Amino acid sequence: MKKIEIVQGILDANQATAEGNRAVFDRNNCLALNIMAAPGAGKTSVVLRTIEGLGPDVATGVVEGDVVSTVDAERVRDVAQAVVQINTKGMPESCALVADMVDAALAKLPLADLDLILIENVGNLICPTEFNLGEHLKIVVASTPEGDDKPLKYPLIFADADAVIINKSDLLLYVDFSMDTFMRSVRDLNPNVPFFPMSCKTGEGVSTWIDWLRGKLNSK
Amino acid sequence: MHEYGVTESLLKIVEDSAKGAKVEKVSRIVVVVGQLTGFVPDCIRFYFETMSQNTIAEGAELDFEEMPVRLKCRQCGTEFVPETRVWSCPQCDSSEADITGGRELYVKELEVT
Repeated sequence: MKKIEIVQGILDANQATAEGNRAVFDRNNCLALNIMAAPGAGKTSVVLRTIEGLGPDVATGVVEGDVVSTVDAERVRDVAQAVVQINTKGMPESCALVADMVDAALAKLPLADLDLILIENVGNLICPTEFNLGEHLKIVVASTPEGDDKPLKYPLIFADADAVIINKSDLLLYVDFSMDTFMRSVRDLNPNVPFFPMSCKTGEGVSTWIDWLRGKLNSK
Repeated sequence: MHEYGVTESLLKIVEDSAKGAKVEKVSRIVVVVGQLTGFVPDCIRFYFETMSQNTIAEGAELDFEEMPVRLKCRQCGTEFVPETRVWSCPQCDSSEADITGGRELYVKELEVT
């Protein structure tokens, strides 16, 4: 009996593909966002509000990740420059997008014509954290009805976020959600992360997010 | 679940390493998994049993070493393992901390013949 020391990361292969995706984004001068949230937080609504808010001078492609349906892609189709749907059912990973799936989706997007790529991940606060896709920015969407304790329950996704959107601010009067408690818990892990409280329903707060994103687009 | 793809990657690492070292049989695999990751050892074991059939790792024992969450206080620099979901520094009680451990996922070693 002998031992072989290995120490090799099991996610190294995903990371290598993610770096390949990043190179493709950079070569085409596209900013890529990985949008992650629990089911129902409003990822697709954020995608729609973002495209609308940026207006026609920013060409946006969308990669929609979902387990089986095409509902989200259908909502986005009319406003985005291009949409690719990835259904994860039957794939090795059904609970999150992985870099290989995005690699395959990129082949179907007119990358040279796009400025921004919004990758809507599968609704889940755990699994998407593990798989880099090659994105430039990780955007986490929380929503007020989920409660303000989510950063304590799912710390990694909030620790890794480059921006946190707090959707459904119009429901603050009706749900037990303390903006202070939520932001403090996130900042404990991620001190400089910007927060964007907004309501995709009413449009309140959306323009602050759009301004921030425009800054990122201009500096890419 | 995302353990299927992870188990595939794990098996590939084991097969490649075994091939490089010219071994006949892999009898034990040690995997390190951090407690902050969403990976479930039993689930990986379940897939591994099926996937490793007719490979050099068939029947190998799959052992997991769980790594605890480790934090470094951003105020006083103390490194600690939190005992509850509320992460506060045992020295200064600050809740501002950087995650320094608990997100590992790697193959550590193999026992082979």
